[in-house]
Amino acid sequence: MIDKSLANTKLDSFEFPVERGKIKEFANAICDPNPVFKDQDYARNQGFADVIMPVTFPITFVFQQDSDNAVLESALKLGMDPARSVHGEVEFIYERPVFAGETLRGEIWIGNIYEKAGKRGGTMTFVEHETRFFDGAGKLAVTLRNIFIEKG
Amino acid sequence: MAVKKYFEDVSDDEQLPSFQQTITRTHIVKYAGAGGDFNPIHTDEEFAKAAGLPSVFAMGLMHGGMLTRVVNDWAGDGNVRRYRIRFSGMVWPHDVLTFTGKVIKKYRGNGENLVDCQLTVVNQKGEQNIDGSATVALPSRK
Repeated sequence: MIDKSLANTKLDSFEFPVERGKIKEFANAICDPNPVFKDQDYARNQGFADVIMPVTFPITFVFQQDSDNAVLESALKLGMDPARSVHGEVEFIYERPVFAGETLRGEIWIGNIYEKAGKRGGTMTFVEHETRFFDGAGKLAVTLRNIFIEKG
Repeated sequence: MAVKKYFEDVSDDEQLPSFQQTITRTHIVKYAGAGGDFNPIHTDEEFAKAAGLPSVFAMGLMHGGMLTRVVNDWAGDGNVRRYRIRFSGMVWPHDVLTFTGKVIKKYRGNGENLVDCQLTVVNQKGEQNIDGSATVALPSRK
């Protein structure tokens, strides 16, 4: 059974330094040749403070966690049954681009927990797992939302 | 800042530039190291076979990361406001993936010129691996 009382609660917070070398490594791993992720001079000539964080880069926050599988584990902590659960969706919402050299504060939240009728009968339970990244001024910069679905 | 695309120049149903990528085990291992997903089902062949799978398979955020290039190259750097991917089906070593996108909607919102795009990853059999969407903010000529 999924513990719905944990909806909209903060689980953890951590520091997330956005590092130039890590961005380059990530851009190479997703086969993206865009110099804006690798070349500081190029990025500055484009008017940016430094190389930009690639869109899906926030998922590397897991390196700041003690566990290799922090996101899945916190879903399981809610009581999700791994045999019936899938990682359905990932969403990245940007208030602004983020640059190498910034240090963000990450907050891990359980968002909404809601149910929908499954197409083949039964109830599907949706759990939002969010990591919210705040900048040095305390303003929200990026939200990373994972949705886990437990089939009925 | 070099502008890639002006809002006024976006046409309805515009296709975004697509590309293909053949996936290897090296891509998967490299992404595990860079992205931090060390679930052995993606990197340990013995573990994957013991779980009843034919081999390791890619983490969805690997090709989900590759797909961002379609929209970012078209819209220009720093313009993606929202990017969402839904996973449907597994990506195996030797799969040939095609990354595509197209314009769905142009509108004004939050004081910006916004464009919604549909994004997909399809394998060599025509099976969809990712159903994605993105919202970008574009500069205006005015």
